[in-house]
Amino acid sequence: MRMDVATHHRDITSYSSKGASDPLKDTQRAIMWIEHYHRYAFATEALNTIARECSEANWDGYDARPISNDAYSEAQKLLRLIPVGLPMPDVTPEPAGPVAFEWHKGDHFLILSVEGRGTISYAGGSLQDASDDTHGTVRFHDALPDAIVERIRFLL
Amino acid sequence: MGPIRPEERLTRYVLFTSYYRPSDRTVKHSAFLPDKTGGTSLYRTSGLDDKAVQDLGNERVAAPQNKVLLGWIHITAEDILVNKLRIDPDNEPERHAAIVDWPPKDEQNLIARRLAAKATLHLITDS
Repeated sequence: MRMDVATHHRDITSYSSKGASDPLKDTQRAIMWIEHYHRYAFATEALNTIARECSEANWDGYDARPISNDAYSEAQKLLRLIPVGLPMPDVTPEPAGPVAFEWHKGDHFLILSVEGRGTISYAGGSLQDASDDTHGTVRFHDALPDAIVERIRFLL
Repeated sequence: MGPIRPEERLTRYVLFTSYYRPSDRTVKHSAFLPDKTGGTSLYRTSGLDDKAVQDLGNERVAAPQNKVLLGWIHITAEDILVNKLRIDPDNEPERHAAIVDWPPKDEQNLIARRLAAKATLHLITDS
């Protein structure tokens, strides 16, 4: 967490030092960074709480598996990779051990799950129209897949 | 208790805060995901009032594990069955049932999200 704060702080300060030609736009961008950082910090705190509360089996009373260190690390990475300007998700543990992230707007939703295996399970759609449903699994390396970023952007 | 009827009310007991959003009292998809056995445990509670529902949850789910019952989630059998899931009325213990025949993981989240949207949350603090 401390390293993440430092990284974000460096990003903000380095951005503001780039030869700014439009002070108004620069200020707006800086505010966007700061707001993003606050949402990121909030989501990270939620993740840390989950890691603490779900570190042992049966945390939900239904024999749930503990959230592993690998799942926690991968969840941290996913939060860090959410582009500035996009909303932060609800963070929730799943009983089989993954950490899930949900975005929703109205009837539309997107859920991503990671469990420390280098993949993201995704499920999205509309509560009113099943023809919009999408689900599957993609590899997860050092960036969020474009299709997932676009889906999050759709839920802005 | 016989076969499950579509209009029957089923109840998922809640012992963990991350299974709902206190801010808007909505249920999260994770509350319905299957456990290690592949099923989602719930109880058949049609005809029971809130007190009886609470007593059942304390007696069968919370107390045996020394956990605190936070509340419960009601959903109708029909809202489960339309998602191509099956409800096994195993009656072990009495009134117990389980949502079974879940698809693979990524599709589970899709269906669990639909169940969550149909469910209603009752917290003990409401009583």
